[in-house]
Amino acid sequence: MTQNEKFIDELVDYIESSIHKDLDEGDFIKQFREKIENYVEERVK
Amino acid sequence: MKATLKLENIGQRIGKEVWDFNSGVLTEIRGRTASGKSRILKSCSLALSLPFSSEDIRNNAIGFGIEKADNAKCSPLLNSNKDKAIIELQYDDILKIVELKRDGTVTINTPGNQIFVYCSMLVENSKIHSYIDQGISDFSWIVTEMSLAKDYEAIQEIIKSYIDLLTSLNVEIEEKSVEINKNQDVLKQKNKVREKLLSDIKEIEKEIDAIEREINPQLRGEKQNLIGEIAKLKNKLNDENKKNKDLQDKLSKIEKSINKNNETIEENKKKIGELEKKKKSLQSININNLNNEINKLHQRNEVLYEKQKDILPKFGGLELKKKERQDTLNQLDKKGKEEALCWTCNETMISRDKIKKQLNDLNSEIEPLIEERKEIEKEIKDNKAEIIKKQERKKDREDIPKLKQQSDEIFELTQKLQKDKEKDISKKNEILSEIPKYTGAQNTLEDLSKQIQEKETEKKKIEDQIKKDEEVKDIYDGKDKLNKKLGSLETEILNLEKKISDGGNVEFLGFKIDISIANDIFKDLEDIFNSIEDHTSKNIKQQREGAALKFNENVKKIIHELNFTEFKEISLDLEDYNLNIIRKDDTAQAINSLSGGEKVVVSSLLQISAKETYNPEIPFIIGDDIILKMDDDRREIFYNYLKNIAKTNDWFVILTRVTDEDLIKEEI
Repeated sequence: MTQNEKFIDELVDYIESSIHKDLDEGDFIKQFREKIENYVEERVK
Repeated sequence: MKATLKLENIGQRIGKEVWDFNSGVLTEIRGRTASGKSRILKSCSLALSLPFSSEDIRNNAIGFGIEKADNAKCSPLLNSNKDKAIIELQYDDILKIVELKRDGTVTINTPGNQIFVYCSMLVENSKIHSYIDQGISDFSWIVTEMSLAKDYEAIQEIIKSYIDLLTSLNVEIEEKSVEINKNQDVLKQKNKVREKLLSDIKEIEKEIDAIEREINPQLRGEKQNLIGEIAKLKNKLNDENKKNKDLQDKLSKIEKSINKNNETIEENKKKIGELEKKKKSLQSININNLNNEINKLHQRNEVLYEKQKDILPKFGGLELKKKERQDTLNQLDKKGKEEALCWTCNETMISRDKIKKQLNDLNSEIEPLIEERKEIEKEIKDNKAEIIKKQERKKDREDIPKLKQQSDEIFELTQKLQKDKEKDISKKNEILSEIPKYTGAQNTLEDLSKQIQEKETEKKKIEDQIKKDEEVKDIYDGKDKLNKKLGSLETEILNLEKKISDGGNVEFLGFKIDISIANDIFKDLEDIFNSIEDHTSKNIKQQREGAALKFNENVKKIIHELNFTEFKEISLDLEDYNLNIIRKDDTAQAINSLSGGEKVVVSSLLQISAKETYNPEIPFIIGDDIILKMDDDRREIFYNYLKNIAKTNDWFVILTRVTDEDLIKEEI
């Protein structure tokens, strides 16, 4: 599995668990952004 | 199941009032217009459905007085002479407390379910009813709001915003690339000019050299030596400067890493501390004690229920006697008489005064019973709340292993960070030990610069001596001009190189990314976001379809059970979620061509289907005057259907009806 495919799976898992746990929208946006930031940070290294 | 609704300062009533309801039966609240029936239902609704988070739901809620209007200073449910109103609804083990204040704030102890308003309020201005009444067939909102589709849609919006951001960044990258290419072309040209100038200067220097050899070979020789020495010194200086810069860069990087690790280590220590604190507090919970306490509370409640059972018949009997006497007094007032026939034996006459005295005696007997009932109910309620608290405390103890695991994971991570930090510190010390070797020789840099300066001065003196010859002076002046030109050109080239380097970045989420790699990163991110968008689109479709199918099934079942033979089918289209109505003769019926009565029937039927499909967990259905608009036959069918729902599901079904009575509640 490529890096990008793994990341897609990670994001999908996160979305599904957030929806089923009824996560607050503000928390979701913050944590989602952190995941994207981590991805970019790895790529820029 | 029993539900108790306690109201304080609601609507036109000042003070407290209590309404008890039983599940499994249809309860009617009857009374004259403006006697206060609707506020009872609306209070119940408010307690079950706050908070509202969607503007759409809010607007509907405003329509039947649940929420304040935007420019109102208080909720319509709050009595206009009071600053505060309270609604308390208890059923099963659930207790909802809502507080309404004059400044418009509404607080609730535990959140309700906003879908209740859509599904369980059979009222004239419910959303379903409004759509039917206005002939709007687009019911896509129902399958979105009632399923997880709305959550997926919210996430899709977030993803789209990222895609839009990347699109605009790609435009920025393209523009910057064009600019950089342009600048690089200009740089190329300038470098060509520079090469030409250098070559011209070299030619002139050859000329000067030839003339100097001829005019003053000794001075020329000294000058050449100086030029050689200056070149050597400059190379040495450049090397030392480069070494210093590299060390400083390495040092700065390591210090950054050490600081970041320090911050994370401190945060982790704090988190571990908090987890340990929580763990200790949970460990102090004694399960046996809690179980004993819970049992004692249950036992106490059993005793209290028995006491209630004893009081009720006594109370009922006294209330009946009181009603008989009060009714008789009312009759006497109406007819202006002073005596009435005994209501039990129908033989003797009883005077008004005697009846009043009997009434007073009864009130004196009833009041202590009322107080006792109140106290018993309060104690039962408090005990139930205490039981719930203790059961939750028991459950909390099960979290101990999870807390330990979290704490261990953070501890392991912290250990790793500590090791990394130690490695960095050791690297830093190595670098620091090299820098003094160099800075200790910082004087070398200054010395070198000084030496270069001195030799340049010496060289200039020699050149000035040589220039005293007019012929030589012209050539030197020519060289000076070219050198000046070269100097400005090199400044331009430096500035242009800086512009190219600075302009070669784009900023994304706080990162400055070189455009040479940004393209690839953004392309990958776009692919990732597009995949996520596809995933959410798929789920939105599935959720809506699932919600529509379930809804349609229930509508079909209700039509069959209500025996509405005039309609063959009422269902949501699975593509566009429009509501389709097919009559028994297979003709399609436009919603706005339904008769008034049919609209009420269809909207009530849809609402009950929505209730059974999407909101069965709240055991309440509330209807405010809605059945009134149906004809007698349909009303009877609906009543029976609602009674059946109440019985089968053990729900509270509460309807209001306008009659010529004082406010009264009756189970049908």
